[in-house]
Amino acid sequence: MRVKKSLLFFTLIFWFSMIFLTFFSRSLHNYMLNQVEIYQPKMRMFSLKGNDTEEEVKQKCYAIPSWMGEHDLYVAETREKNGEERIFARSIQVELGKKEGLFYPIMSKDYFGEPLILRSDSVLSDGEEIYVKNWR
Amino acid sequence: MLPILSTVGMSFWQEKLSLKPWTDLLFDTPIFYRMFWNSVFYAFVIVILELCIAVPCAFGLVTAKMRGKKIIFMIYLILMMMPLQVTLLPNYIGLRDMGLINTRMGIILPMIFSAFGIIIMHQYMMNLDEAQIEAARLETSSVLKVLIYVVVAQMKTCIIATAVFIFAECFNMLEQPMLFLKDERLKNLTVFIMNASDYEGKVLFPASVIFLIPVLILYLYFNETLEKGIKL
Repeated sequence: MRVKKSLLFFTLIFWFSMIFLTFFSRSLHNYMLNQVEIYQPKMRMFSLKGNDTEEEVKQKCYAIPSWMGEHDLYVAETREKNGEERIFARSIQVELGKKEGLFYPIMSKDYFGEPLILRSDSVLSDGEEIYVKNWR
Repeated sequence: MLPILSTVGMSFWQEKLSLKPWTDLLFDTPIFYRMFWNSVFYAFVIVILELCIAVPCAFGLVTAKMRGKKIIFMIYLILMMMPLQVTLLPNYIGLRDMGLINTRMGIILPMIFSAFGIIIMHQYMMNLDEAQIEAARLETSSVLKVLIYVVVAQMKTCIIATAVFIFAECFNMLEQPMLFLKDERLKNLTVFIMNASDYEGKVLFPASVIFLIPVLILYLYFNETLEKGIKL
C-alpha cells in the first residue's frame, strides 16, 4: 500500500512537472539568460577627412553614442539552435571615426547596421545566448 | 537493470557530475516537449481505438457462427508474425494514396488495426464461460449489451494487460514516424532520442530517462494485472 502511494505520488509529480515545464520552460530559460537591451544605430551625416586629401567630405555613416565607443561592442544576431531561432551576442571590432557631438561614426565596411547591445545585466561573452528585452 | 542505471547515471555526467544535461534538455530544447506529448498522444489514442476495435472483433470471431472463422484467425496470426518492416511499405503506399502521409492519422490508422490485440482478446475469450454468454443472449437481443456487461466485465485484467502492452509498443514506435512523417513537430520522442546528436547539449541520456518513466510507471502499477492478463 505504501509502495502504491509512493508510486502515485511520483506519477503525479512526473506528469505535473511535464505539464508545467511544457508551458513554462521557455520563460524559465529566458529568465536564466543574460537580459540585454539593444540599440539600432541610425545613419547620420559626418564630416570625414578624405583618404588622399585633407579636405573634409560629408558622408552618411552609422552612428553610435560616444559612451558606447569606449566599450567592447556586441551585436545581437539570430541563429538556429535546437530547431528554433534564438538570439546570440557576437563580439565585433569596428573602426570608429572622429567623434562628432555625442556620436562616433562607424567606418568599418563590414558593419551593416546590425543591432548593437546597449546594456546587459551581466558581462557578455562572445557567442552567448541572450534575451533581448526590446526585440522587435 | 544495468543499462537503465547506467542511463540514469550518465544523465548526470558531463565531464564531471553535473545537472547541465538536464537543464539543456528541460530548458533549452523546447521541441522535446512537443515530441514527448506527441508520443503520449499517439499511445493513448491508439490504445483506446485499438481496444475499441479488438474487443468486438475478437468477440465476433469467438461467438459468430460462420464459415472461415479459423481462416480469418489464421490470417491474423500470420499478420502478427510478420516483421513490421514487411508491412511498412504497403502501409506507406496505402497512406500516400489516402493523402495521410505527414499527418497524425497516418500514424494512428495502421496501428489501430494491429492483429496483436485481437489475438490476445480472442484467446482470452475462448476461456470464457459460453453458457453465461448464451444466458445473457436470452435476456437481451442487444449484442453490444452482452459484450459490455458480460464479456468486457469478465475481461478487465486481459484488457488492462493488452492496453499496457499496446501503450508500450506505441510509445516506443520508431519506424512509422520516421517513414510516414516529415514534419518534426509531428514526430515522437523515439525520433528525438534517435536524432539527439542534432541538438546542442548532451540531451540523449536525460531524454532517455524521461522516455523510460511512463512505461515504467504503467508496469509498476499493473505488474500483477499483467501477469494475470497474459495467462491465456
